[in-house]
Amino acid sequence: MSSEPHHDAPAQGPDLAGPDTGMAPGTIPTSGHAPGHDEHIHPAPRNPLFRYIFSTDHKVIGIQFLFSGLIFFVVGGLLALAIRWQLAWPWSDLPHLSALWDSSAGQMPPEFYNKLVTMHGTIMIFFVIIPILLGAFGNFLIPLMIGARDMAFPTLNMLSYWFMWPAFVLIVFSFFVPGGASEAGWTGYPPLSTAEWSTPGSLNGQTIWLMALLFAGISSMMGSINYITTVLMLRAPGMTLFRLPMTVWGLFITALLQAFALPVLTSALVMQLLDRVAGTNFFSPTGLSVANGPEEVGGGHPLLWQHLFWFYSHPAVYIMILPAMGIVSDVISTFSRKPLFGYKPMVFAIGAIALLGFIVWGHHMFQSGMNPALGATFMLSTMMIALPSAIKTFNWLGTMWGGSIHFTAAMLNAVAFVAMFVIGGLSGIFMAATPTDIHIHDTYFIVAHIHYVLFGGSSFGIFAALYYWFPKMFGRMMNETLGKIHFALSFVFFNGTFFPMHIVGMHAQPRRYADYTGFELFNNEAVIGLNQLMTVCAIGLGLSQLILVSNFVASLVAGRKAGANPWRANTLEWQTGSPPPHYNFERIPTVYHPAYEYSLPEAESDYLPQTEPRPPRAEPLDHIMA
Amino acid sequence: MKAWSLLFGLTAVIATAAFVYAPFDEDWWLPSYRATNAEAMATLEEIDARSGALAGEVEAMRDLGGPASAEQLEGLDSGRRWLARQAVRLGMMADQGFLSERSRELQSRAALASEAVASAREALGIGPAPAAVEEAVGALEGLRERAEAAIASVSEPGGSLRAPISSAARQIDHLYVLILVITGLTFVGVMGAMVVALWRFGAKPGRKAVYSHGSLKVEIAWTVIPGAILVFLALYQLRAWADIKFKSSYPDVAPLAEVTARQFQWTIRYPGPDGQIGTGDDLHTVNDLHFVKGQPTIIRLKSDDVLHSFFLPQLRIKQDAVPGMDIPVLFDADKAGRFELLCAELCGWGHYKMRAQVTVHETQDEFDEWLARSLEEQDYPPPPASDPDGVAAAAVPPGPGVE
Amino acid sequence: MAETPPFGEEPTGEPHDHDHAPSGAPGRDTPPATPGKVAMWLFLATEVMFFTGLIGSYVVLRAGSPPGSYSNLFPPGTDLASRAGAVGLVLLDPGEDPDKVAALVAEAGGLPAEEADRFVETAGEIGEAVVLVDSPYEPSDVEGWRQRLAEAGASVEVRGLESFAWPPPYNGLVNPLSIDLTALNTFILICSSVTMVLALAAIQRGDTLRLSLWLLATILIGSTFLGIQVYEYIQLIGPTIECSVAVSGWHVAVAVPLAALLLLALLQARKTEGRTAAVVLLSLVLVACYEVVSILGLTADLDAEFLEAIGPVTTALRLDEALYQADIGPIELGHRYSVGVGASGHFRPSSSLFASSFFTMTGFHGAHVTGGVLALTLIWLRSLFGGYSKESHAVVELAGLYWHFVDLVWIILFTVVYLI
Repeated sequence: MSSEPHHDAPAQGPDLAGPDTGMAPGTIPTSGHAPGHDEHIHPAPRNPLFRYIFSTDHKVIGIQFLFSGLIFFVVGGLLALAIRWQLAWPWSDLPHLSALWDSSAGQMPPEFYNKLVTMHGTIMIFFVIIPILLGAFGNFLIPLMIGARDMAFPTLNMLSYWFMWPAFVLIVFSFFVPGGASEAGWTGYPPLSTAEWSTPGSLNGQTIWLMALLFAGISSMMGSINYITTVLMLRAPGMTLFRLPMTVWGLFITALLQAFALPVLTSALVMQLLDRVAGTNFFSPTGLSVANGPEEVGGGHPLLWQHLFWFYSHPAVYIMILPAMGIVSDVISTFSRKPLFGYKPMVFAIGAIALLGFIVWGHHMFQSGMNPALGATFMLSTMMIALPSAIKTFNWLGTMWGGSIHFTAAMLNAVAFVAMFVIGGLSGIFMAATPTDIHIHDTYFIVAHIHYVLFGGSSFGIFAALYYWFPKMFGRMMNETLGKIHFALSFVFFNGTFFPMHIVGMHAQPRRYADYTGFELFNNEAVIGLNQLMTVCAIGLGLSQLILVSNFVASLVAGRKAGANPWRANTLEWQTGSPPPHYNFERIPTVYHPAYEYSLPEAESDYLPQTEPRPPRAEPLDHIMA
Repeated sequence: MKAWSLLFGLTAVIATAAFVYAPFDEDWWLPSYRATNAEAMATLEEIDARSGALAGEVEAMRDLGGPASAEQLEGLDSGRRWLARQAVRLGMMADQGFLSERSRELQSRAALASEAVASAREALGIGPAPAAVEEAVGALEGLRERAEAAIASVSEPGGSLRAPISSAARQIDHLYVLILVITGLTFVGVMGAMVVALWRFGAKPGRKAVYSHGSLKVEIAWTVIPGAILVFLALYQLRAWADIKFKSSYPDVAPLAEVTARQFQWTIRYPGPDGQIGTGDDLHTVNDLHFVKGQPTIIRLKSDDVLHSFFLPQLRIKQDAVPGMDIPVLFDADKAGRFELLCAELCGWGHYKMRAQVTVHETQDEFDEWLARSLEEQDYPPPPASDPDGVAAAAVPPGPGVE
Repeated sequence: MAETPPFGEEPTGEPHDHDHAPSGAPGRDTPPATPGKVAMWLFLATEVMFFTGLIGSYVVLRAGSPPGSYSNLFPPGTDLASRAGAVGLVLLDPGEDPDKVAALVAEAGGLPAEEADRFVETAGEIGEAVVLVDSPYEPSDVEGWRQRLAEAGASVEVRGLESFAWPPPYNGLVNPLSIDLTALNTFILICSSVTMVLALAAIQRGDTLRLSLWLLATILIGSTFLGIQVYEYIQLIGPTIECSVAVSGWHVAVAVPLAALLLLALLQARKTEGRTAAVVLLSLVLVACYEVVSILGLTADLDAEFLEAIGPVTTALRLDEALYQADIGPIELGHRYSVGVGASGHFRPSSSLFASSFFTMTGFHGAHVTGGVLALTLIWLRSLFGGYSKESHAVVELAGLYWHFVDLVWIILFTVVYLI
């Protein structure tokens, strides 16, 4: 085992009080000089209100996003288990939950099933994956990995976290209003979502849902402006764009996607809100009368919502996967002790996915009544977007090939990301092809695809990031053995839960059906049996996460103290303390080369931090690949 | 730590096997309702057959000179007991969810028939009893008819990948298999490489990883080849899409019906004798779609309230129904029989039970006959001039109803 | 050969100047981009996407609007196919005796007297309004009423049915938007952009006095724009004000600390407008949330329970006492338009898709102008305390960028919604 870099700062806790410069605490630090050298560096505020709650320190904000995200992960997961229960044993009693519904038998009403489905999707997308990947890891890592002391706008950063709280409160509150939570699917298609009497959730819950998403959107937009500005303007000397680690590239491109796509969702949410509360008619066709209600003046079109919604929500799915892709690139490279295969092509691939991501939204609408010729154009762009993702997969394999692979929990989760993403991506080809989409649209085949990329992809990516950066965030190591057990169980149960969905989906079991057994097509042992298998595995998957939770909590409190660079990695965050001091670096580092100089033949150790120049005898870097 | 590569490898193998195998196994994949409920089906067939025979037996006792013979009475007794047993079995079938409504109906009919046979037996033990015989025969005939209808109502299995049963299905299934082959080979290749990499390249003391940032040649290769495959697939499928969805490629046939989706049913409107949809002589049905085998059929799809979706999985047809839009949908079927129509777009709390029965008739004549019969039932033809008060008409029982 | 770093020289470990921009060549005075500017351009990009969503939808909805969606004689969305031969009686000018005409109009159209007065007044201003319609579904004696109104001194004429896919400009029977007034308003907003430029130019010269003056001018002119917009909205919507106001001790108990907080925040504007804005924004947002939720009536039960629980306390503190109570109204404001504008005679978001789009787009634009005015006010306040100088006035430039953007969006909106 090689020695730690010699100018590694000793591990320091978050309580480090820097040199007292006499300025008021909490003043925004803006520049990049070592303490004592520049009047803009301040110690962390001492008042707990401004230190831990309304903190402007990106590290604290990142951890805040992480904790709220993980709590909502549990909530969303419980909702999913309730869904799976109903599908395996329709209309069975849920004895302890009969208090939730008026029915004394404890049977879930069908509208409640629709609420479950809607809220599970909404919570997982807007309150778990995006906040954890972008809010938690983005916030924590970006300044550290680029060698800055904080984000460009720390106060804006703090606001972006606290703007999520109205969203949290609203989304939970929506369950308790008359009519209950939104039932129109996380996609909120009108007229079901705009016509108050079409279904109970559209009475009040839908309005609250819209308001919650508006807040979440504002929070995200603030965050993305911050990230983009930070990456463009606050990089350390020597940190050119093409020396950024892939994690930062993933987050940076994602922030660009958020900034340009999210406002269109905002306009759509606003229009739906107005349709609901102000009587506007953007999405109601002339003469619409739902549940024998009065006819609408109309003039609008339900498909307009779909276009606007998917214009954002398709880039949204890339927002959910690109940061994980970046993270996985770094984790795989670190634990293969090998440079990332084709770094520059990988960067261009992420860019291509983002750009193409803006012109494929119609593939969610092939069967919607949209002009089929327009559908054909979306099909072409959708087929092509598979290409950069494929390139990335091959590059990850190329990174592992010939490496010296260490099977840590982080690495296992990262490799699982690649494998599961391959399945998710390949199943996507079936739905990109418009004729096959005719059969599988709105069936469980789609649900399978979604969960392979979002759980198999993003969530395993989140697990990898958690195991990898926990030491940096909290100064302690997580238990590796528990991590491996958690991985193995999650992997097996995950596949048990979601792979059969491809099969029942091909069999045409539709989405969002509270009970499919009313149809002879599905009322047989095969379909019912597979659904029960999936539920059992889902319960197993849920229980396996208890291992992660207990590992997380126990390690927070009593984990082995971590050094600055336990994984012997190259990127800048590992060249400062665990956790980093309030101002991140003693001296702003200077960067000499990209992040993937592992196993250099000319170097003694198998890693070379970005802050150390390459050995003089080393061959010049290949400028096309690296 | 090679065990980890085994975990990934095993998962990949099971996944591939299941995915490739499942759609092709006809029996396991789309098991016939009849096959999985063989016992129940057998019960129905037995009821159909024996109640008919029993009706014939009782009918023969209508014009007896005196009380029935001991043999005949014995036959009635065993018939009554058999009916009672069937009632119990039908009750169990209903409880188990097999054709619950029909089974319940059959159960009560069987019970009634059992009583009717019992009272006929009593009456015939004493002397001739044409009225009781009449009643018993009526009950038994009714039971037999409903049993026959129940058997016929069970959906035809159909539409597995081995045997596509519509034009759309042929094109779509072919494309599916093509994509399955391409993605399957890709998956096996990629996962194979990953498993091998994990197996071979675990960290070993003394072995340093290969220091390489990549290879331009390899990048180009694995950009161009997948790109070419994707472009090929994209262009290859355009024909199928156009055939199924482009209005310009639809044949020039008159629409069969206007199908309006609403919360939570399908209301279908067929043109009447004047051939126009929207006039007063149209046939209105609920959840009952009929068309003819082998003929390209067009419906006009509308929605009364929220979004719904017209989904015929066995024929591989799907089209969203949008309020404010009137969308023509083209389909056909190679096989006569009964299929199911599902709603495939979340439309409220009853989304899961928007089921319509689809009946494909063997011939145009059969369809026309059904249409005429249904129109008659719907419209109650006026009594003929020779019977202005409708007395004679009232004596004629209405024709067999639409199941 | 060692890897050469990007800035053209081997880093020697000497600290670089990072104050507001990444290092270019050392010794540069005014770097081309600061994080603030980059962020403002990004923010403007998101605003562009937001308005693109709204304006794009407008374009699509308008392009797809079927012919016959709007007509001069019937409310939007009426089925015109069955009303092909309809004719209408159009009032062009009330003449010498508007009250008499109003009485006749009330009788003919079945309107209450006050509304008929407003109707005649509006017709006089705009130049035309439909009094009565004769169609297969709504038969009436158009010719008879024409004579009676002509005798009362009004200028009237009978017109046939005209239908449109979208309300054309300058057609008072279908389109209530006043292009002339709005054109003036557009000019006003452009003026405010000019004053903003002058303000920035002033501080770039170091002239803090003129900075404050021109900023104030911008704020006042911007507020005038908003005022005219509000006036226009009231005329279009024609609200009826009818409410009962009750101010209890609770309101005082909440309002006083909130006012103090806001005052404190404003005073802080001397030091930094960023934190002030944050505090102001957060408080406004929290209050607004609570208000919206109570208006929706969703907190009724929660409120009641909470109040019950603390009943003794509030009674003791006399918070429940009503300090002021009054019933206000009904006061009817605004114009009453011809039926082709909206079924209710008013132009409200629910009247038609045209109305929905109009209010949404101009409303959000107005909200953005309001936000700009608030921000400029904070900046102006700080400028009064000498907060800006020739060397340090970045915020003024950023606010200017925002203000010009808002102006540009308005020009696009005016063209697309009013003129075309």
